[in-house]
Amino acid sequence: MTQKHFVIIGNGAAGNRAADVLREGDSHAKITIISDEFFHFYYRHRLKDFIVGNIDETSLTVRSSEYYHDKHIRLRLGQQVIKIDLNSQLLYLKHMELVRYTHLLLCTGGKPRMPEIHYRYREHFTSMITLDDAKHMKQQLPAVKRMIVVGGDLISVQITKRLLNAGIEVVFLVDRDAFWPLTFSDVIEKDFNRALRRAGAKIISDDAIVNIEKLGHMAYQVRTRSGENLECNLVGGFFGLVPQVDFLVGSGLDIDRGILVDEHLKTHFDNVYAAGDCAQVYNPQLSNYWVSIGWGNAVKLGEIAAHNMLGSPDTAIRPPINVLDYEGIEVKTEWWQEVS
Amino acid sequence: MTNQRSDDNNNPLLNSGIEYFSDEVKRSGIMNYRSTALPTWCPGCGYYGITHGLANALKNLHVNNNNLVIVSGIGCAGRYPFFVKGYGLHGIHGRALPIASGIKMVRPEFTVLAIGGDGDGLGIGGGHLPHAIRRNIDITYILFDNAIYGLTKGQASPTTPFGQYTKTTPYGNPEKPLNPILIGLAYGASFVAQGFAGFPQDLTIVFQEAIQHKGFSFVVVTTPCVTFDHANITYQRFRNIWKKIPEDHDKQNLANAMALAQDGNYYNGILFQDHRNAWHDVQQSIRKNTSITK
Amino acid sequence: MIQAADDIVIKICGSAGDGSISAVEILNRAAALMGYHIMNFDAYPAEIRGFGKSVGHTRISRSVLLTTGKYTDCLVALDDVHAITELSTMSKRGVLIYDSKPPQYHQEDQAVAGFIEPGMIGYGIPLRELSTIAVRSSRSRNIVALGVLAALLHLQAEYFETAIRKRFSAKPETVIDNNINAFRLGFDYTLQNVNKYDELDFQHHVYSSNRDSIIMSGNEAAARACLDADLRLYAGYPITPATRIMEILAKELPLKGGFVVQTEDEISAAGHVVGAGFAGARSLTATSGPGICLMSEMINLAVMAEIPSVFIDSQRGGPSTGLPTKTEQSDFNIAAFGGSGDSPRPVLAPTSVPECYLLTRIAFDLAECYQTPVIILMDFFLSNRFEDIDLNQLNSNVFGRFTPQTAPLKDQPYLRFEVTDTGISPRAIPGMENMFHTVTGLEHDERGFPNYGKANHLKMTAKRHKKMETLVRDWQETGTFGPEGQLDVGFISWGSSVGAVMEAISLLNDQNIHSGGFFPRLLSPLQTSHLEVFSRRCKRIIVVEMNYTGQYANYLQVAISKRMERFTRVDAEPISSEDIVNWIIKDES
Repeated sequence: MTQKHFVIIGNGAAGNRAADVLREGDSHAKITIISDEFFHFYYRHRLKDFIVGNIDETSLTVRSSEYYHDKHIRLRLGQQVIKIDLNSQLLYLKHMELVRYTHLLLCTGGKPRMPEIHYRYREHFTSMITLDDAKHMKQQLPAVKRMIVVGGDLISVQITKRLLNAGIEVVFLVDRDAFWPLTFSDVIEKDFNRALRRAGAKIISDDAIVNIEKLGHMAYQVRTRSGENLECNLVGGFFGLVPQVDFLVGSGLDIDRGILVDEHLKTHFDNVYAAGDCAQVYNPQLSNYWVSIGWGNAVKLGEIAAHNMLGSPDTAIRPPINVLDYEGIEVKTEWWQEVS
Repeated sequence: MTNQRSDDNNNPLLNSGIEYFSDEVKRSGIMNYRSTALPTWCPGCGYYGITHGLANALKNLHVNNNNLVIVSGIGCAGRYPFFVKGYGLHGIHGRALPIASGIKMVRPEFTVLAIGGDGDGLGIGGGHLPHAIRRNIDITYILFDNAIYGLTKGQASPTTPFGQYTKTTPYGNPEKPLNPILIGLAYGASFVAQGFAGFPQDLTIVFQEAIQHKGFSFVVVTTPCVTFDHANITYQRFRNIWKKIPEDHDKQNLANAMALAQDGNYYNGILFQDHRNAWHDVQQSIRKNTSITK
Repeated sequence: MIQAADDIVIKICGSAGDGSISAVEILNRAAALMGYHIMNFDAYPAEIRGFGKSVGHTRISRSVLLTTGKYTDCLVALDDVHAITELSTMSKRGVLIYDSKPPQYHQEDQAVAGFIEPGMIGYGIPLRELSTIAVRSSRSRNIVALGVLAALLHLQAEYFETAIRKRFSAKPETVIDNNINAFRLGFDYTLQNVNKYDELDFQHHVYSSNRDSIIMSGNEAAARACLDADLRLYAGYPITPATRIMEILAKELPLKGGFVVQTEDEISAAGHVVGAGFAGARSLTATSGPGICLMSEMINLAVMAEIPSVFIDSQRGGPSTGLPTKTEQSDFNIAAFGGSGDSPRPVLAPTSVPECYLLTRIAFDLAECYQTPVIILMDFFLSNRFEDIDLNQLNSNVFGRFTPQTAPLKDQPYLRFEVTDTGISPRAIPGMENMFHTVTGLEHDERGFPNYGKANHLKMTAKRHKKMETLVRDWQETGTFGPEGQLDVGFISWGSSVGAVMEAISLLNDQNIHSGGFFPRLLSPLQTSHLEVFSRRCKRIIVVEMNYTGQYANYLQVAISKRMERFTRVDAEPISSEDIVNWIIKDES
């Protein structure tokens, strides 16, 4: 019998929790975590404090390499899976290596959402999802006097507050389409604007970007529908997250908003599971799928997936609808509406 | 006794030997090639005859004493340099050839003689002979073959006959002896000759030829050890079995020389000689950065 | 240890034939042209070449280098499977450059990029593909990799082009063009496509170089010293790691009127050297442990018969055939004491490549002045490591002047072994008019005649030792290093370990652990008074050497009463400053 090889794609909360549970349940199996990021498992919600220098990089790290050595978990960081052959149970890595798995767990998380309307000038947006993004932004910040933030997701608000504290002039362009995963209501807009204005941001609403032009190094001009030309050093685009499933297209897995899995987090392939932000989980009661994002959710799903992979059935329960656990912060969602 | 050594610093043997020579010997001029030290060999040792033959050859060739270097190994023959007027290096057991070769390489104008016994040259130092031959360095190697270890008082050597009784072969020598002449020929020496300590005049001629030969000269001198060998190489036995080399022998014919070396007879004289380039000749072309193969 | 951004250890790793070594050669040359210091020590496989891995290992810095560095900052993988085995040496800031487009997918765990440790940074570059564009084969991917390195580490490209031109100067113009093209492709690709994450950075600096420097290995330095010292005969037998000396001399020495002979064994080599020395010509052999064993009897003869001769022992792991391609310093005992009887002879130990030159040169003077064999203890690490050398360095002499005494021509009897105050007898050599004498390995009187008298033996033994006392008196280099005054830690070390100890001393002083060193180049006879002065200054004395028992420490310990600690290693690698510092800090805290 060949040795079991649990391969987890994704080094976030779901993947790491799953690895722990798998190791507890099977001390002999080979366990591998693959992530295209170069960094150790880190607290994503602390990135905003990292970019403005409130905390240093070491405080971001959840676990260092010793932990994985001790647990005999092979970490493959900075490695990207570009193709999955589900029939042969083979992963094709970008650096031209084949990895054979017996059980696969997909915890690839999310990537920045880019509304179609902004596609034309998308390379001019700075976003901040990963530590890599954060480091890049942190490097640029000292030279930033003025930044235009476009968006409306929760992180955009959090970042704006910190940028203002750091003495950067922020112009916040509220983009109703950018709100995700919840849509904007007039009530929220009011609260939202008040909060931003109190913090010192200049707010432009009821307008929209029609073009962004790069004038030079760290110099952009943003033109709005109303004809305003705004100059700035950076344009932040914060439009929320979408599951990172590009590399799975054509693999044979069912993909919708995320990877479709049953209540045991299993795809329609026997040994392939998904958990965390990238999973779209079936709820038999609702006869429908749900997507949930956030740290706590990811940990829970990672654990459930691992149990199932070890052969002890476990079922995912939908979290309470009125609380959104977003990047480690619980936000009451009374005044938010779920996306349909 | 071969080498009874005195602990006395004023050992008379080392100083005033010259007094012992007859007027005739003194007049002959060979004393120019003898040091004042008197040999320490046993009375009747074959080495006296060899010494006489060699001194004569050096005299006849008018060798410059200042450029004469004798290198020896260890054994009764090893003492030889002390008895020659010239420069000497009494080295370590079996290594006369490398040392002599080193001297000749840097001082090609020197007349370099390497001296050693059968144990020294075919036993412990046997590995150097083929390579000195290969290099064809222009030195003369005189192998004093008495088929016994004399200095250590009578043990079997590489040329001791099969079955002979010695102190280390009390049941008879279980090993077959080497044939030094055949070895020299087989290794490809450019000059191979042999002689007998009992015929010093013949040795003089052989030595002269050997010293004059441009290249490595290998001379095997069979010599009686009167103290430890009463059965094998004795003057009585050997004086009569030596033969002259056949008149029609072609010195350049290796096959014929090898045939003579193996026919059971002892031939007095030069069995083989050819005139290929010596080591320094080849080196000369290397320095000129030309091909050393013609 | 925090290393500067412009002090970088680079390894290029491939299969034999991938050109790792020649790429490092070009890299060294380019760096030296830009005025950087380099130290290069390639790793050779113990296996037969052609199957094994071959690793070019160099360290480039703006500061003078004392070691090749324990950890790799930048690893270039020309062969994935071999490179994986080098990853354990990666530093905390390590950068890996690998081929992002091999001809087919690697099997699991056979891709070096799959082992990138957290904290390390990997750059995938299509090395083969770029090489194929340049030369229609993957052959030049080593040169492509140089382009990548230059772009990534911020080194100026034109110096590489000069170095490439020089490296391939014997080749047709198209070969040179192809290689420069390959370099350019790697360089441009990196500039255009690689997002630099790492901190390794030479900042495009070129240090205006008035330095007349060349790159040399220890073996090359020793060979060059032989040529400059007017060597007449080199006799040797091939043995790792000394063979290169013979190979160089075989080519160069005949053109300078000397001779090289490859002998049938080391005994014969030593015999040739002693013979030539007796005849008044400078002669030398270079060997390693097994060879020095065979030469011991001949060295003894040279001691007894007082014949000038020089022996290089490039040490390797022992005993017996041992570890032919690994470094060790375990031949001190045989060098200083090998052979029978009381057999004193000078033993020298260079600590760097320039000293391989300087001490080899001075060894000939010592041999002639004190009429003795001289042994130079190099080792695999010194023999095979390359350093950039300031040519002016080679003209210095801090050791002393050693002039041989020639006997005046006079009436007989000439006393070859005349007893004098210094122990040195005026020397005559063969060829001189009427200075006839015979030297011998037997105990002898002043004329050279064998003599076994007990009074004579005592007198002549004392004479031979007296020469060594004279040498110690004449030797000017004190061997002391570092700050003056009282020391918390005083290091004693020798040979190739000294560089690491010097580095450790400066690191410890940075941490306020007051440290200094005593690094004798004349290992034996012992400079007792210098040792005593040094030991009185030290709270702790630690002897650092690459052998198991502490051979040199054992030798020193009898001379002074203060207890010496030993830092010894036989792990087949050069000692590193990190190892020493960690050991001290663990003790001191």
